Amino acid sequence: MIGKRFRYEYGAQPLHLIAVATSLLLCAYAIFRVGGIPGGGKVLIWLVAAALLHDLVALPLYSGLFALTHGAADRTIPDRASMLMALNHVRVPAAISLLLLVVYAPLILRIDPDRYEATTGISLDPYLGRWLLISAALFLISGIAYAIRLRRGAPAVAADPPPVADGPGEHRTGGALAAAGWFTVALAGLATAWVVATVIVGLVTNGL
Amino acid sequence: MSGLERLGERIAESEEKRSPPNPPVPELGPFRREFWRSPLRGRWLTSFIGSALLPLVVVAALTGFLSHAAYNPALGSNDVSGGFEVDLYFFDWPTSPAWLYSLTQSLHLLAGFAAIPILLAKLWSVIPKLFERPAARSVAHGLERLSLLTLVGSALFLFVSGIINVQYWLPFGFSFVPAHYYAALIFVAALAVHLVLKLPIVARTFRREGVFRPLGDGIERMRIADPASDDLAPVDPARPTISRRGMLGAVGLASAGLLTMTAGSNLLGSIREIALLSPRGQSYGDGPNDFQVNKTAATAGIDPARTGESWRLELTGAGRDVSLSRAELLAMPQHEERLPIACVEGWTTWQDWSGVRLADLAELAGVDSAADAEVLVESLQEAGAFAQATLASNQIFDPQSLLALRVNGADLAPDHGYPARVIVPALPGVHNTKWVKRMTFSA
Repeated sequence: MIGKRFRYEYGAQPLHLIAVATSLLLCAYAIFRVGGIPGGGKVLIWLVAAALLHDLVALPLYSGLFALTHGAADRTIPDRASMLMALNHVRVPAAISLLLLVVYAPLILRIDPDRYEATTGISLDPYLGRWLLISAALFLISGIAYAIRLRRGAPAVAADPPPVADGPGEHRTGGALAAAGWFTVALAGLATAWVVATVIVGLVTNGL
Repeated sequence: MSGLERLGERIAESEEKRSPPNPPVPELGPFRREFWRSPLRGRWLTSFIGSALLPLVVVAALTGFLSHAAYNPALGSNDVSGGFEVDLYFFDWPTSPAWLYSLTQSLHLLAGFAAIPILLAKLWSVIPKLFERPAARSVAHGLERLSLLTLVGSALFLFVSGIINVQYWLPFGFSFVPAHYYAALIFVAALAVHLVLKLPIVARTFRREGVFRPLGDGIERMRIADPASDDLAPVDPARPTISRRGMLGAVGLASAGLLTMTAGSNLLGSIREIALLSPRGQSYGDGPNDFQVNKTAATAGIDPARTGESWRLELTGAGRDVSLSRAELLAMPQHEERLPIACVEGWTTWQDWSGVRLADLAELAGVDSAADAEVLVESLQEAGAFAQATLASNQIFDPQSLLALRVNGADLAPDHGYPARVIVPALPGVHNTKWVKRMTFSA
C-alpha cells in the first residue's frame, strides 16, 4: 500500500529514487571537488555549456545542413528513388569528412600552431592537405560505389508505400537477418580481438 | 469495501484535485512532438546505438581510471588531480609487462575516438526528449532529467576536452587532468543510473522488435515506430531519405575511420603512417634521435648553459650526498634496454636506451632494495606539473629501469632530455623525467 502511495506521489518505484539519488549525490560530490581545483568554476560552466551548445547549436546546424542537401536534391532530380541514391552517395562522405574536420579542427585549421610546433618540434603544415586528400578519397570511393549501383540497374520507382503493419508474418526474413547480424557482431569482435592481439604482439616483440 | 478499493478511490479523488482540467496550452516549435519528423527514430534505433556505445565508454572509463593509477597518485606530488581519492589507488603500478601502459592508454584513446560518431548518433536519436512537455511529469521524471543533464554534459565535456587536449589546444583556462578526472566521476555516476533505468527498456525493445530485424528494411518499405507505444517515435513522420542500416553504416564507417587514425600512432614501422590526421602521425626522420618529442627543450625552458660540462647529477640518500658528472655516469656499468615511451595522449614509441640502472644509483645513495624506497626525480625544467615525479620501489629496482644517457647508439638529443633522462618500463611518458638534475632517495 505504501508502495502504491509512494509511486503516486513520487512518480516511480522507491528503487528509482534510491538509484537516482545515489547518482546525483555522487555527481554533487564530484562537482564540489571540481569547485576546489584551479579554474573549477570554468569547468562547471563548460559541463553545462557543452550540453547546451551541442543540443541547441550543433545538432540544429547539422540537421539543417542535411535538410538543405535534401531540398537541393529534391528540386533537381524528379525521380525519388534515383534522387535518394544520389543524395546519400553525396551526404555520407560529406558527413564523414565534416566529422573528421570537426574532430581534428585544431590541427587542420591550425588553431594554435605556435603551441603545437613549440611543444612537439614538428610543423602543422601537413594536416590540411591530408584532410583534403582523405575527403577526396571518401568521395571517390562513394562515387565508384554509386557507379556500380547504377550499372546494376536503376532503382525501382516506388509509389508512396502504405505504412507497413508491424505484425507477425511480416518478418519472414527475420531469422536470416538475425543470423547475419550476429555474424557481423562476431566478425567485429574477432576484428577487435585481432587489433588488440596485433598491438600486444607488436608491443611484446618490440620489448624483447 | 476492501482497503485496496478505498485506496484506489482516494488516489482517483486526489488526482482530480491535483490536476484540475486546464485548457491545453499550444506548444511551439520543437516543443510540439510533430516537429520531430525523422521516421528513423524510435526505441529500436536508440537501443541499437546505445548497445554499440556502451562497451566503448566502459573501456574508455576503465582505462581512464587505470591511467590515473599508473601515475601512482599516492606518492609525492604525483597526484595532479588534487583529489582526496588518492587512497583508493592502493596498489603500486607494475613495471611488467613494459607495454602495459601503452596498451591501456591506447585502448583509452581508441575506444574514445571510435565512440565519437556513435555518441553523436545516440544524442540525435533522443533529441526530441529534450523538448518533451511537460518538462517534469513527476518528481521522479524531473530527477531523472536532471541526471540526464549530468550524463550528457559530462560525456560531451570528456570527449571535447580529451580530443582537443591531445591536439595541444588548451583554450579553456583550466587544467586538463583534474577537469577530465572529475568529469569522469560525474559521467560514471550518471551512466550507472542511466543503465539501471534504461537497460530493461532496451531488453524489452529487442525482445519485441529483434536485435537486427529492423536493419532489413530498405528506404521504401521502412517500418515506422508506433508513437502510441514508443516515446521516441515521430507522430507525423516524414518520408525516409535513408534507411536505418544506411545511417548506421555511415556511423560505423566514421567510427572505423577515427579508430584507424588513432590506432596508427601506437603501431610500429610503416603501418604507423595510416594515422594521417592523428596529432602524432608524422615522421621525424631516420636519425637515432628522430622520434616523437613530448615537449621540446626550448618549451620546457632548458638553458643550454646548464646542460654542458658544468652539469652534475645530484644524488641524495640515506645521509649521503653524491654529485656525478656525465663522464662519471658513463664510466659506470652501462645497460641497454628497448623500452617504450607511452604517452597519456595515446601514442607510443619504442627505442633502444642505454645508461645507468636506477638500482645502481640507489645503491650509491645508500638505499638498498630491501627497503620500501621512493625517489623524487627533479628536472632542470623550472615550471610545470611534470618538472618532477616520484617513483615507487618496484620502479627503482626493476633491472630495466635506467637513467638513460644515450639512445639508439647516440647521445640523447636536447629535446629527448640531454644530459640524462629516466626511462622506466610501463611508466606513463611524462613521468620519465627529462633533463634530470637531482634524485632524492628516501627509504
